[in-house]
Amino acid sequence: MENPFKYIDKPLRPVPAELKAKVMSDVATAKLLMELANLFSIDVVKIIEATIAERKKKTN
Amino acid sequence: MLNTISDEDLVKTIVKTNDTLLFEILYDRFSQMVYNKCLGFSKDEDEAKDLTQDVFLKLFVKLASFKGKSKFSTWLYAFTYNHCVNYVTRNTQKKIQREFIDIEIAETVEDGEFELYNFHDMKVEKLKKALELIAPEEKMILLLKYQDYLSIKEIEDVLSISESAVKMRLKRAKDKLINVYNNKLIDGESV
Repeated sequence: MENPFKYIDKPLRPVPAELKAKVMSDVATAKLLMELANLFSIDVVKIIEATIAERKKKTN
Repeated sequence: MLNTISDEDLVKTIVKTNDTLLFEILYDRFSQMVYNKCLGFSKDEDEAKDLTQDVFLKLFVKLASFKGKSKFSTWLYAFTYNHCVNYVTRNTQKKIQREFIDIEIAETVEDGEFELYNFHDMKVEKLKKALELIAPEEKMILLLKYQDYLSIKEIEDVLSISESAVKMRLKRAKDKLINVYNNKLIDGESV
């Protein structure tokens, strides 16, 4: 006996051609925003690690 | 060379470099799958297009949350379904709630019981209609199991729920579907 679930989305429909340009435009905007956010964000872990390393140097 | 790279390696490289050209390759590989899954949760093609566009944007932003515990395609199925279910239930506030799992019941549900014996005689068109009449969360877990062939373990991983919760949800969804199929549909029409 066949599994009927295999056929519920068949035949697969093609993706509308214009969708790719929209997605890639969204992604380009998202990348820009993510890079801008990175520019202005602070890596707290890095700062703490650097401070600890600096203290160790001074005490030695 | 890029065409032969595995999905998982491609994803790792995109996460490292944020390269949109590589993301385009990922889009080419999976857009049809995502679009068709979105169609299953939308009322028309325009809605499916919007959902697909949102899924890929969210995917680009959240790609780093793929930890490689399962195949990328498996993870993407669940990612897509989750987005669609949240969209469909956005107004009804019927988000997936942590269910109280009746351990005794859950433990008696063995993997073997999820075989397809109850579904074998179902007609495809009537099954499609029955799937429209159950909750989107129930539809999602049934599709993951019976259309995408995820194991219980894989469903546990991609939905971040326990084994007993997966089994309980599957059992409830399956019972509901069979009930709707047998009692609420006559010749594929809702009664």
